[in-house]
Amino acid sequence: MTVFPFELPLPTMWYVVLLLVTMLLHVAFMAYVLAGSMMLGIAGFRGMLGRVPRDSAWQAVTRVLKDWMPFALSAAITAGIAPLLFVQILYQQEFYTANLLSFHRWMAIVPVLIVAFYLLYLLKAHRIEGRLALQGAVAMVVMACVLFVGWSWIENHLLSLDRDAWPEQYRTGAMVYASPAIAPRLGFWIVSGFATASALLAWQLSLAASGVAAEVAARAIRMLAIVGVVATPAAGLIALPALGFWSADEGLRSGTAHLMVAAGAGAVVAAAGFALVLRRSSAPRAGLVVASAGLTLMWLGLLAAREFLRLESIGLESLSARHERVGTLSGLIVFLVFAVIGLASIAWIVRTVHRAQHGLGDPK
Amino acid sequence: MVEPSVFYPVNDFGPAMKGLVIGGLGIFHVFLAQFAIGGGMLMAYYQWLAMRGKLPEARQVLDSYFRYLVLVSFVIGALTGVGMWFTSIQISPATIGKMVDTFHWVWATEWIFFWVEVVAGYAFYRYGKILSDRARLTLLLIYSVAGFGSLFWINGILSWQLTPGEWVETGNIWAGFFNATFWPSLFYRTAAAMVIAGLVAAVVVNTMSDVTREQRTALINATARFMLGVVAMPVLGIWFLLAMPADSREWVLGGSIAMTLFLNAAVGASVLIGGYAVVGLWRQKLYINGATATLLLALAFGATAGGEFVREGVRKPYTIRDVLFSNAVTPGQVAHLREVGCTTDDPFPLRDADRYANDQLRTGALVFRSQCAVCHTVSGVNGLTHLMGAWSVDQQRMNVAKLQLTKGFMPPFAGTPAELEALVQFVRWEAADHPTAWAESGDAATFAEIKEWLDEAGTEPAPIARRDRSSNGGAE
Repeated sequence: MTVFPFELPLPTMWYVVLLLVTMLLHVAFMAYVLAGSMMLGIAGFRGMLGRVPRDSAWQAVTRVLKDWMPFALSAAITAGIAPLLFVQILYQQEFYTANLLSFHRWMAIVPVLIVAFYLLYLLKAHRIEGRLALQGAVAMVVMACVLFVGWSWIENHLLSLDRDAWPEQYRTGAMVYASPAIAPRLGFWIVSGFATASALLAWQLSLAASGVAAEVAARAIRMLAIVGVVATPAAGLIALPALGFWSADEGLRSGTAHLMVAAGAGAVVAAAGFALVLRRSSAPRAGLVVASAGLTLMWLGLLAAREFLRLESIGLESLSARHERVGTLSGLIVFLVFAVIGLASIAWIVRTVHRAQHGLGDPK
Repeated sequence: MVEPSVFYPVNDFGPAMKGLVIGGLGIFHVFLAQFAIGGGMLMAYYQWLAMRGKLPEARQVLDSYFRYLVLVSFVIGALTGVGMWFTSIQISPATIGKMVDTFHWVWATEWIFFWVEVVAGYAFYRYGKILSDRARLTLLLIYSVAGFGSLFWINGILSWQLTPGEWVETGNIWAGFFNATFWPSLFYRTAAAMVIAGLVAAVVVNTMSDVTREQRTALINATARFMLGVVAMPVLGIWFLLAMPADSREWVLGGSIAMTLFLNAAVGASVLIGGYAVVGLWRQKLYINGATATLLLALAFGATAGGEFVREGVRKPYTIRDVLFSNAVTPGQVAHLREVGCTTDDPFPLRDADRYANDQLRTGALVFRSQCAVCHTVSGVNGLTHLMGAWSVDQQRMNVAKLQLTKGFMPPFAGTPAELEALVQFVRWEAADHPTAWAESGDAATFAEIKEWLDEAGTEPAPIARRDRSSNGGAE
């Protein structure tokens, strides 16, 4: 028995696999940005009310976030280019039509992201340190920008699948596609974003790259582990109704059952990993390895199930001829060669920086 | 077998021509991205000068806000690059779809370069000060190579649109990628990137308060040497001109006054910048202050704008030469659409159907939407009521029926005689300020005459646009 996506015709399977792998990379940074912007937004709002947290662990988390969010946003955008490319190959007509129907509303995500990017730099500027009202306002605008982008992507995805609604959506000129499925989906992405961002932040703190004192870092990691323990199973549970598995017909449910089992197992493993971190927050790496592996499995299961439902909704027969034609075009070898060179360059950069940080000199 | 049409919803940009929208964003994107590419190279050059002891104060520029400018420009360049994808979808989904389908591995390869650029750029930005000179130089070289690489890949795709070369017959993407205009375009853009970065650096150097006048002069002279590629730009421009298809060359050399003017504006601005860089800076006859540098930078923006306008314009009547007309109809579909109609299978209704006085006008509005709206408005920029308003009704019918002969850079009309008549009536009705009553036109004799004109014109593009098809973009 073959499992999705390996049961698909070769060209479609190949592009679905590439979409899943690159989307997984995008999700890591996107989750960091989504949850991070909310953490900073909430902290900023509390600051505006004069409720500045005294807990140094929480302060350490927000400091790391402020420091790394600009990079995380640019990495999320860069990582998003590849899945965007493969979506255009897999579901070109559907994706383009949804883009066109939403028009200015959809296009607005580009300037909104530019605004968010600049404001993140402003947020970490020394110039506004201590100005709580301004900091709070900036953080909340960033949060609103990120949520707007998340909402827009979900709206675009759902509209792309609702072919029957296209003519009327166009005729009315409505740039907003109202669907009751949008809010629960956004809820899922937020909760799962918190679970994923908790792991990533805990990794940052445990690797001591943040300049945070060990004792404070341990308490912050413990705090993040609590978030992870709660958010991971919650994300798994919310996914079932939010991503449409409950409402899908029997055939679709059975088709995605193995993927949902994998996602559920991943959520359980991740929660166990976070629990392990909670028990040993001063030496959290083993727990974080388990949590990260579990989250990876969870995301792969959920993302694959999402693609299964999308392909079923559109109908593979209407797509496969295009995939077959596009799949014959050359260039893969060139891509793979440069992927190896690119990864080697990135590895060299990381190693060089690591050695410089620890006073070990240049790599030979 | 005729490739089936894929219908997409068409948005109305109001009085603004769609080309202006994508052109505006494109110019902004190209300018920023070229600055980021040239900026990376210039930083590597500064690092080399500093560590060789040739210009120790170059390190101060590197550690000034210049690095932020390069980094921020890269990110905004990447974002507006995604914006270009989205805007291209809005303007012509068929064109960008074909580009993505054909070159998806090239785009995926470019994505790898983006990653290297992001990581190298941030590593330098965050940790540059704790790295050794050797590591700093290597990092900046990696950043520069990655930046140049992203230009290399996208340049192949963009130049393929104008001169797809043997790809049209063989489907070999590398024959299309390394096409007739690839190299002149690549070298020209590289020189432009270096010039833009040099001018930004000249502005930055003039704002640095911790260097002496002598140090500032030395920095600006070194920056001018970096910009010397500007002297090659006229040669590269001529090479590009010779490599483009003959009909495209004719548009820019007087055939289309708008394109000729934009080309001249770009050339004029480049000559001014080049003259200043060579005479004033390299020969050390002049000192460039912040205001002058800013003015030259504005000229560089103008040159970029002119160049990009010309690059977009010379492809007419195609968006991908020999493959896809500007209105997303393929050459192979024209004859078929003249039989079945371009509005027959369109699933998207009119947004304002009640506005029109009769069904013929509604059909005309649909024809305008599918055939004309990508480049024209009704009464705004490049509006049909302005372009066709002074013609008699028979002139309108004949000129649209023989569209590719009326104007060589227009595609052949791809619809039935009834649709053509509907379009003519639609334009006349709009020009008449859309009265509530409007009689339907078109008796059998009129349709027969239109059909005769359509047949006379044929389904091929204008002879001038076919002239050098065999050489696919080579000079005649």
